[in-house]
Amino acid sequence: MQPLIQLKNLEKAFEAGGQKFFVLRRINLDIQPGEFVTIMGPSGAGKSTLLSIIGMLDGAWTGEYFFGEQPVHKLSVKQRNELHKYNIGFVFQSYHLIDTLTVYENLEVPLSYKNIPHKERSSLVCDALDRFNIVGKKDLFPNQLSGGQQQLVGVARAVIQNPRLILADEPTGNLHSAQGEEIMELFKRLNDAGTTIIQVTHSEKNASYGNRIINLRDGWVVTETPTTVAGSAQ
Amino acid sequence: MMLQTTWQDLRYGLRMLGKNPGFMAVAVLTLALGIGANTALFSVINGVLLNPLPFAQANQLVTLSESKPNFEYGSISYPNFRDWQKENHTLSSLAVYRSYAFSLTGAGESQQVKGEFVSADMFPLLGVKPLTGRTFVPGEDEIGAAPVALLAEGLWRRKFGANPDILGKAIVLDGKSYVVVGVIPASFHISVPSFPDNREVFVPLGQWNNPLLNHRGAGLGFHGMGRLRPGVTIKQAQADMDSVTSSLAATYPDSDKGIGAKLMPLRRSMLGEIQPTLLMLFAAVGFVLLIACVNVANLLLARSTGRTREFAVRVALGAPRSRVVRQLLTECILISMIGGALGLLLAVWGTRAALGILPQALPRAEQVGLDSHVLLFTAGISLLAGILFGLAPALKTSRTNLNETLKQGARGTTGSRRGAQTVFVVAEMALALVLLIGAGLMARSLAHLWRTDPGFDPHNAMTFGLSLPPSMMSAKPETIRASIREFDRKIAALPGVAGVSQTWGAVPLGWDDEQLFWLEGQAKPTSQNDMNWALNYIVEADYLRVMGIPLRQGRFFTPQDNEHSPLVIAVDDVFAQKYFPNENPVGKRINIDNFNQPAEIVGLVGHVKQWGLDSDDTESLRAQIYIPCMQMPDPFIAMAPSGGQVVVRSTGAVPDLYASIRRANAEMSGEQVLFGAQTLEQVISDSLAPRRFSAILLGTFAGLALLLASIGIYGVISYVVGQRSNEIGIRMALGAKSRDILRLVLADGGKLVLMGIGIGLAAAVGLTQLIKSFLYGVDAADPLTFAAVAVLLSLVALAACYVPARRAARVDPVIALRYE
Repeated sequence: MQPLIQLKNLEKAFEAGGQKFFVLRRINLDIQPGEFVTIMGPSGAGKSTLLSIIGMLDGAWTGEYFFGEQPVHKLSVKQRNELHKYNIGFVFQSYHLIDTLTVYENLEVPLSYKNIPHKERSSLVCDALDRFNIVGKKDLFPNQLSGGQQQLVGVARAVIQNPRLILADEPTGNLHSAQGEEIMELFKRLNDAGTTIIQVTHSEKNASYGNRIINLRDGWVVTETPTTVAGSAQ
Repeated sequence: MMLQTTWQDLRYGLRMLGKNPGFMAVAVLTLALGIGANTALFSVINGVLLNPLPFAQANQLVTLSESKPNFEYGSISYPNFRDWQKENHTLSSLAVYRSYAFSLTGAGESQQVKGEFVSADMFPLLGVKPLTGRTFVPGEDEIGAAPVALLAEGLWRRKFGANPDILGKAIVLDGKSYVVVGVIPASFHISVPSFPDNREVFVPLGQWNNPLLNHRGAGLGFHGMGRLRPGVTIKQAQADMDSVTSSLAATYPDSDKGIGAKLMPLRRSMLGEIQPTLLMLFAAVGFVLLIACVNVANLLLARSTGRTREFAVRVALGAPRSRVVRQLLTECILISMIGGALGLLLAVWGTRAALGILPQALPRAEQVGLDSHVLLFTAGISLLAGILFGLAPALKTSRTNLNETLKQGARGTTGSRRGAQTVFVVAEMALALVLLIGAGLMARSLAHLWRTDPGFDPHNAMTFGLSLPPSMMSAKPETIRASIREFDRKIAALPGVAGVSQTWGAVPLGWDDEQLFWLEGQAKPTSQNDMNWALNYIVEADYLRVMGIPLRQGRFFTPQDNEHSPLVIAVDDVFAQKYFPNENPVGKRINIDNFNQPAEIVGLVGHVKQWGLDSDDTESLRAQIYIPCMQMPDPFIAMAPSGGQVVVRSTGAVPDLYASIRRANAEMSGEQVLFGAQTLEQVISDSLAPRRFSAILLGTFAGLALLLASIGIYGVISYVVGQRSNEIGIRMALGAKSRDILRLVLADGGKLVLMGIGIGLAAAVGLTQLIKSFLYGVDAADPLTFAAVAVLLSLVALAACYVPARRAARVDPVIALRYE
């Protein structure tokens, strides 16, 4: 099967004081459609950087990156943006909801960048509100929601147009355990429905929801470990 | 789709601004000041320069004058006017006019009315239709025609209660009855030399009982207006008139030798030299708008730190950069439109106030107002301002580093923002400095002018017009002389009056009158145009003392220099230098045209600045002669009752002196009219009105610029202090005292100020050369002005930095270190 994501010799470095400092070294990675992959590693290992590159938010790297059949490394910035816009949803640790917009409007934001007519946008937002049980909160602002509710909105925003891939950077980092469990269960359901998920986490419990763990250290992929049982790590 | 997203951006923009009322208020007010000032000035430029003249096919209209050896634009004699009319091939019509003051009697209280002698086709030439009745018909302007008159609508309403039956009624002007044949509408406005605006009555020129009217060589103050035939250019018309005047010169060499015609577009004649002044002010006010935009840009940059995350999220959610920029620009344009609306209100108020202070400063001032052009300009400049101040912050915000910004606990990247703010503050300091220097130079020019000796003493002296009773219009010359002497005696006897003198002919800083002469020992020139010219002051014995003009040599007139004694004159320095260089002119004689005896020079007096405090020195005709009133020939005395000027000197500041004079005048005759009273200080002030107008406006703009620049630097330093509070806390924890922090922050601000002043000074050296022609008595690169303004701006800017610096010095290190 054609992997959804293929990384070949992907590297990222920056220059400082005449020296080259690598953030990621010779990353070779395949991720199949429908996988639930966890990226783990100590602080500074390059996890979030790898996630940003996969999510096409960072274009300063070398190597090859195929998204489906698309050679991302050969695409222009505009083409990458289009590819990312229609295929990838982001969930952030700090939720990153827009404080001046209501829940409804926050959900609408990604749709407004995709030339979707107003009526269709309304329909999609209402579906999302319904699907995530947050209809009653549609007119509230983020500062009127709890952390868990905000992250729920963040997840809803990420999946509103059924992306092929969800990227989650420490999605439960700012939540207490019960809220975190809710969110991870949600991810599991989405994955079961066919959405590919890549998460960055320090939590082994969260990692156990996925089927594979990729360990990074100092920018290198050191191990890839399958998780055999849902909800538990081997 | 575009409409939907724009509507969305507008809604979000309004909401964002509503959440930040403080920022919104400062930004809107700043822009309102900048846009308002520009709108105000544009409304003036629109009304004065851009609006078409209110006449049909105005581009075909030209003014005409006779060019003479001493005058490029001299008055046209009546016989020459008639010949120009007949002989030219390029003008479809030609009219002449002359301003004149009439005594209106028999309709309530006697009063002086501002009138105009016109030829019959004056109003048809301009395409002016009467409100009621008709204008003059051909033949009505001939000498001996039946006396008719036209009223201006203002006079008709004020004096005659807008009586619909006015047509056919008689009015009495200077004791003569005229039948009213029409009313000219209030919408008629024109303002050219010899035809000022606000005329109240129009009379055919043939009604003027001047004995010299038919004299071909007599320039009696008539100037002409013509309409070019379709397809004819002014150049072609000029060539045609050159041919006509050449032919007349050949036919009438005595009077017309050397006389030509000078044509000028009516527009240029009406506007005078105001255009360069207005354009200079427009450039200056553009600086104010730039500074306002820079201020708001700085505010936005500071505010954008808090919105970096929002826009990073939007980009992460798929927003292209152009979309982010569009959203930010929409918010900016929203601010600028609201600022523009407020600015429009300020402009309307400000323009009215400015024109109220100096109504005489602008030609066509009645055209200044709010119209579609001004509204369009305001909308356009608001849009431009929004883009101008919004673009840089929008581009900076949209270029955010997504990774850094979206990381947990990431701070905004302020480095590049701070760089942009620095550039902006330095730029507005420089712009403010240039404006302040310009204003400073103009103010010093005005101050120089105020201090310039006009050649007479304007303190405790006044002038007014005097029109003798209508019965004097037909009185004998000796009766008229007696009446004038009686008037002088009565006024001189009033408490507080130190001296009084009639003054006919030229009036310093007012109007000119010329006399032709030739020197004794020379043969009388065959043509008047071969004679010499001098400015002509016809005055009484007390004139020198009343005006405070110094006597250099000999004596001035006495009451004994009258109609029974030999003709005497006085001359000024310039006359003496020109015609009697290195000689004492006292005792010399000259021959004055139209006098049947030579005149002896009895005194040498100081020169007065006839043409203006700033322009007299460069005029070609400056020589001045003085002739005693009572020695004027009888035909001239016969015209004196229709109006002359009187000057009075008081013993000190005497309140209500004019009221006393009016009472004394009323006792002499209920039909003797005084009008147009002014102190001599007001005369000087009025002569400087256009300069004062420019200086006031430029000073206002410079003051605005200083205020905005100070707010700008205050804002930036405050922002920097906020950003550096952590660093300040560390410094204090390491031993820095309050004064060290104060010095640190002031040094930061000081660097910006010095950079701005340095760039501003360099720019000012070049830019002030552009206003060289507006300056008087001060060099465009005057070091004193440059230095004083630089020091003033430094002090104000450092004071603006002091407030946030003090705040920084009071930071609690514990709190600062706990921050973030």
